[in-house]
Amino acid sequence: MIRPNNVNYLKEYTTDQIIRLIYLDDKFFSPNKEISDKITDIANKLNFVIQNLNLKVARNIPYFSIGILSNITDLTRIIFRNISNIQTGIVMLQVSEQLNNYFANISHIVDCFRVSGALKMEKSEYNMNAKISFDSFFTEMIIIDVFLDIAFFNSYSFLKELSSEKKKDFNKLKYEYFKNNKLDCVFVDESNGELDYYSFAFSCHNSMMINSNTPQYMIDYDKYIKIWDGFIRTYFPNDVHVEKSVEKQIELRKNDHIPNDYHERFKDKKPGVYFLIRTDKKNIASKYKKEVCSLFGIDECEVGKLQIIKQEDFNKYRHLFKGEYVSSKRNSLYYGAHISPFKVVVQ
Amino acid sequence: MGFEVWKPLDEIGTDKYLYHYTSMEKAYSILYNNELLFSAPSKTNDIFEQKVKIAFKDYDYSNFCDVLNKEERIRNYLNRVRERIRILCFSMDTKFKTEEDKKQYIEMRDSLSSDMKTANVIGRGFALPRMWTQYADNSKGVCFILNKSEVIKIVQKNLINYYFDNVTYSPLYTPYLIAQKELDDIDKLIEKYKESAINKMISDQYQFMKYDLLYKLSDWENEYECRLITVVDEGSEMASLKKVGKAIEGVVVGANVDKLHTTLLKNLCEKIDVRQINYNDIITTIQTIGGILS
Repeated sequence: MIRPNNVNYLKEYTTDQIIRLIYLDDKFFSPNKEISDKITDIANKLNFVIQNLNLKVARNIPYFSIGILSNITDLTRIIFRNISNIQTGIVMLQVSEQLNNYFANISHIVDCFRVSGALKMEKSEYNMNAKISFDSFFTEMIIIDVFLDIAFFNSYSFLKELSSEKKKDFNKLKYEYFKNNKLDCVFVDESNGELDYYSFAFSCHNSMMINSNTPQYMIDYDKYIKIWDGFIRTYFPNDVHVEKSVEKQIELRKNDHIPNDYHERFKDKKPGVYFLIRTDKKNIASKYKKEVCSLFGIDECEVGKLQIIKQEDFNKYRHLFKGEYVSSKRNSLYYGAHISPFKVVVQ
Repeated sequence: MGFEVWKPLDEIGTDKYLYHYTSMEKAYSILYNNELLFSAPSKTNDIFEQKVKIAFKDYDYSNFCDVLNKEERIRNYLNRVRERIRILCFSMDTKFKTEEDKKQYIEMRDSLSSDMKTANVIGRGFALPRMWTQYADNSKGVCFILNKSEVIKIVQKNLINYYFDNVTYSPLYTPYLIAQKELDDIDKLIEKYKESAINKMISDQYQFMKYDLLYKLSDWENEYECRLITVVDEGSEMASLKKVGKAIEGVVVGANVDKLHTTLLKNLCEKIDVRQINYNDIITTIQTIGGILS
């Protein structure tokens, strides 16, 4: 049963999304439904994590699309492989050569080696930023963790504006911060202190998840934010994040549903996080009608009504967002009142 | 629990796991019935196990009729009750007998590439080639990985008379020589307890019983065997270790098992991790069953 707290809705209405790719060798990868479904599932979970972080921080964290290719591109960030192919070494040398010769500007690339019983990080023998060896239990975790840090990085204006060279050094700084502050880590560090990559998400999982027989992705959101805050204070103490103007933010809302001058309504709002909400459907479940009408100041439900709510009221109205029809053998249930939310940060 | 059960030899604690190799058919039965079945020593593939391995020392034969009578009584008794003994065999992770052995293992491991070193599970109790060949239907069967502490708890809860210990391997076969005093003690025990004497011999871990049932020739050493021994009532065929599911931490499917059986087994083991053993060139690996992202 889909419950409101498990739904990705903020991502649905924004074009503020980035795409990154996973490299899978030809021998394993032929487009098939199983891999496609799995990647979609992981992307949904990643975006759910990003949504929850978006509900906590006063910046816009972009959402994510994950693709799989058997070629290296500028957007490749994970090389995904396992021991099935004994020719892995040859493939990796070819990948390494491509990276050095044609993709020298990639900020970082992680060699993710899936192997039973492993959970460690070490220097990559193929000149990638790091080699993470992990058991199949943690496939989801490793992909989400690597990409989550990329999304969070892209929420800071001054980090996005770093030069290519500085972006390459950036991950070394994260590893340095991890070491200097003796952060927890799910991985055993076998790099002898010489790693060029770290994801702060690695430090935010608990032992219950790691030791479970069927690990479900869990992350300590507050710890994750705190680590990033500490890191930024240490290495970028004088940099200030500048959010896009409200007008520019609203331009990222999908479907052109918002009038061009609507950003004016935020002019007198105090700095903080708001949600621009819209009625997307006229015929909603009767149990929500009174509340929706009251929230939007209307007598009858109609499409296209807009309202601004504060961040602290988000959870109060969460049950109205989106609309899912769930049918079970016993009864049919409606969730949500087809209200679409869109985050706006006023600075 | 979890992923640690699949770690390479040098990363796991010794004596943490037991391994039980079996055919696919018996594996289904074990999972369905949630029990492990014992077998009789007479049905093992070691010919020496089928016979009582004791002998009698030179005694004071001034009263030799009495001594001979006792020897005969004891031998007849032990031969007769042997049919009531049941054994359940497990393998264990490889133990290094000497520092030199350990050094060789580490040198071998370090000579491998980083990938191979991480993936190589040689020496783990589920990666014993001889066991796969002889007891798991030539790699078409299964190896269960059991948590030893949990097995011991189940044994303590379910069995009254038992003996649980590692097999000792010896290069030469010699029978256990029963000394005079021991001879008298055993005879009195049999006199007093009659058919139940064997129960006491097992549960009290009589030295000669230990030798008889837990010593094997070095020829079998690569089995790294650990045994659970118990006694059944006369006329009873079966002995089993029930509710063994709690102790199973993983299932390894043989390298020659086809996709149908691997899928069936995986579906049957809802909460237990099922993986397949594989041999890549010079290393032994464990692979997940299913797609590369599953």
